[in-house]
Amino acid sequence: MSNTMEKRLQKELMKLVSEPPAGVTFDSESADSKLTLWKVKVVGAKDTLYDGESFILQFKFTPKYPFESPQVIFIGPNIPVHPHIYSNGHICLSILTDDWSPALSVQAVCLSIVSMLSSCKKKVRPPDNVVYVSTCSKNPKKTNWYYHDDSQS
Amino acid sequence: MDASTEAENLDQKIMDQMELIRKEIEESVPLLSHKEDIASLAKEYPPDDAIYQGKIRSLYSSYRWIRRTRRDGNCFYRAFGISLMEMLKQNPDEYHRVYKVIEESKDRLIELGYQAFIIEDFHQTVLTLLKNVRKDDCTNDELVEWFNDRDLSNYFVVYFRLLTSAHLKTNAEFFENFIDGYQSVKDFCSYEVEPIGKESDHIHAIALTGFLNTAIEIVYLNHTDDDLSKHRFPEHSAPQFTLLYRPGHYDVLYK
Repeated sequence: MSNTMEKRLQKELMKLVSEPPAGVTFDSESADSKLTLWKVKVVGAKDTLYDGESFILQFKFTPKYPFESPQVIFIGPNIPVHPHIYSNGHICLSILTDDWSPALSVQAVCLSIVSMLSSCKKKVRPPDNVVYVSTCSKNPKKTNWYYHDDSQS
Repeated sequence: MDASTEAENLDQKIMDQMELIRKEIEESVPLLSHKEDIASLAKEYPPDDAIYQGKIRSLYSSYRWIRRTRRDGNCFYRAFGISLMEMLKQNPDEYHRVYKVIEESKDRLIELGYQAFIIEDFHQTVLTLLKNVRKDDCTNDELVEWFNDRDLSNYFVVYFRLLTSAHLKTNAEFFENFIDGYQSVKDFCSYEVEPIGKESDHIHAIALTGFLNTAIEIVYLNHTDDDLSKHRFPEHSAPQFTLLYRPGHYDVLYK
């Protein structure tokens, strides 16, 4: 299984380096040697609420990837203030759990997150941010997410 | 604060419980069983349940064997997959036709916007399976074994889910009318077809048989007070194989 994962991640890595989606930069050096942990830089698009800001997305892959979704969170000092992003970096986005498909990719996840930021109309935290952040597991995939309609794009 | 901690613990408990159930099923039921006598179905229902026992008796007149699939949300694709391969093994003309459809399907998926470097592994795995099917020494047992290899089997499921999506998207204008609760056929595919483990319905069967131009029959066994109902996809076709549907689950039936 891990062979499957490595082969697939190797391809995705090359693709993300050579053809990153707009607003995304990836330095392959930031991935660990087994390719199970990646850090991807995301820059807020022009004329959006996040214009000029930059963020770091962390991808963690299990040996079951791509049949199991990657664990994706924002890390570092700047976590986007967004109605679906908690202040601990957890993201409420259904393709990261229930609606993940092996036909998606790191690229596709980055695109979804960039578009989620770009379409934001008001910079606020989720209404349950304080409670969630103080009680949740470190792994967002251990949360039984309830997805709001507008989180699907 | 207390209430929320409890809520969180409950969340975690539910997730852990679900994981445990999933593991138990995984350890006790193969992805695909060997053929079993159809009579084994009767034992699953109370002997005094006249509706189920009656319907099962009427199954006996047409079918002798059942092949069970694991209840993991992918049963439709695995039931369809093994039946398709068994049929193709017997039928060289159909084999060549379906092989060509699958071979060319990658380009259709790319035209629809799927990333070539992502889908090629899935495509290649299905083509390798098809090449094996054609070998003289390929036995049905080997095919069942193939579908019980979790990795290979999941590659197949992923690719056939994409083929289902492809047919829905190509004929979006028609299918738009049948996707309650979704804005577009594309959304429906992203949330109800492509993720592994999402259950299949009528619309998935119509789409997959439509893409491959195959004909199947699905026999419905449920607790309603009428005769056993049979549906053909497409309608009025001569079915190439038969699946058994019980609410939320598909198995394979054999004459």
